[in-house]
Amino acid sequence: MNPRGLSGHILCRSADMLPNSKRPGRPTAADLESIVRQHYDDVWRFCARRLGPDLASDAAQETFVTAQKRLKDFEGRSELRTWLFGIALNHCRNLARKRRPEVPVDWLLETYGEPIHDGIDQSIVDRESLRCALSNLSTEHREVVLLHEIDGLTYQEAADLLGIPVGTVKSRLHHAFLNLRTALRGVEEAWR
Amino acid sequence: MSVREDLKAYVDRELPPDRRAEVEAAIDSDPMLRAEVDEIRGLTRAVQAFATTPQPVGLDRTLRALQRRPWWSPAGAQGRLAWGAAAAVLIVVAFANLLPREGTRDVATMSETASWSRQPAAERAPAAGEAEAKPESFTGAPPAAAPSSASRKAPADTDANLSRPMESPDTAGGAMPATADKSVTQGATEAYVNKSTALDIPDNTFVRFRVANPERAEADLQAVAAPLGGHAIRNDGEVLVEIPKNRLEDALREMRRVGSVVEVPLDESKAKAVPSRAGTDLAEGTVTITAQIEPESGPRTSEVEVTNGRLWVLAALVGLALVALAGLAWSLRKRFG
Repeated sequence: MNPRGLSGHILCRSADMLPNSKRPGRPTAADLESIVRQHYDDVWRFCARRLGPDLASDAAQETFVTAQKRLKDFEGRSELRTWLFGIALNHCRNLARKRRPEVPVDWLLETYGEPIHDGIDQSIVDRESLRCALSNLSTEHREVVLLHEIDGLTYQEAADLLGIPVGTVKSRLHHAFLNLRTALRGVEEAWR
Repeated sequence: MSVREDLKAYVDRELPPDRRAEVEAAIDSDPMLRAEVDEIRGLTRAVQAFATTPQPVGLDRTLRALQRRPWWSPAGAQGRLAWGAAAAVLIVVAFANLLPREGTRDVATMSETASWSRQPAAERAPAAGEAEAKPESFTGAPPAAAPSSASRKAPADTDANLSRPMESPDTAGGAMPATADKSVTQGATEAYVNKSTALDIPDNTFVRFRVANPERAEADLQAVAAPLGGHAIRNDGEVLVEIPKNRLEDALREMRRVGSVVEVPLDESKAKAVPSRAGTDLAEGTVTITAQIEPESGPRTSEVEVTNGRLWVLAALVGLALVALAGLAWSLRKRFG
């Protein structure tokens, strides 16, 4: 399994996976069902990490309804998954504004999914410290951490999705990890 | 940018090759940087490792939601049906209007030139004997009410009639003036019934007259005017047709048999002043039709003018139908591809 629990950076080109596409990267409405089946899990998890599992289904559904309307505008300049994440991010922000004051990070410690240990001894990692450290990040820093470390986007994809320069993504990640290291100073030796 | 700020990007393999080589060299030469890289790498793995992968739910619900489309959506079956039906209705309406109707032209033109009713209702129910005394009252009354003994003689009280208030034929109670010629009005009566406007007959009127052979126009129009008690003479590119006012309708109809009367002015201001012909034995109540002769191959603008408003409506309907059909075809193509 991918250590990130996602399809990660290994993405299917949208034209390859969409047999009805008339042009590379230009899926048609007839491809929608296959698009949903292929990307629903990633979109749902993307939403769950920002809203929690209760609202993730609503956000994911809204994401694909919006994608259905805007599919003709998709020009194939980015991965289809990244394009869907962009739509999902807007819905997550809207739903977060309506229903939650803060974007939760409790998903890190929730028990509704299986954690992936990737060889790290769970006993030496303080989950609660990590959750607190992530919660204390600014919204901008936490968002790039989510996009890159969890959702598996490259710097460029994260920059496109957020509408910021790729250098800004790099800078935010640097500072986010600087803050995390400071917060987790007490356990870092164990991670090594 | 310092090497330290690039360590995270180095760990993530997001640096360009030349910069990566620089950072790598710096790390190799500095144990502190190496330690930081290890720290960042460990933290990165920890963040990724603790991301749970919850089991998604709601796929079927989302698929069902995508199947539900608004009724007007062209991509849905109902939407296609609705748009198709709308296009069909528009096309039917458009073609129904485009089909030629019998008497359409007469209705259009004669309603502009005729529909004159100058007599009060009380005076428009004359006895048969009075009919010959009032020969020039045109009316839109149904022909069934027209006495069979209607006369075509020139009127004796034209001026008096003109000075009377006009009245819509709709209010005439179906009475037909005794002078109305049944043969004249029969074809156009329906138009008159529906047209309540009452226009004065000008002494002179102007028409554009399109014929196949302009050289024969004078002779043809003379042949038209003579039986009606009038005559025609050529004047440059025009032919002046002088006839009794009460035969104007007959004249216009007969003229259409030898050519196309393509324009009839709506009001007297368009009438062209022409000198009355000396020595005529016509009665005072005459009208001079100035027929501007045009070859048959000329543009048929008048019919467009006559039905101008209707054609605009038709054009709009046809345009809408085409747009609807194009949308329908597009949606079907997008759907079935």
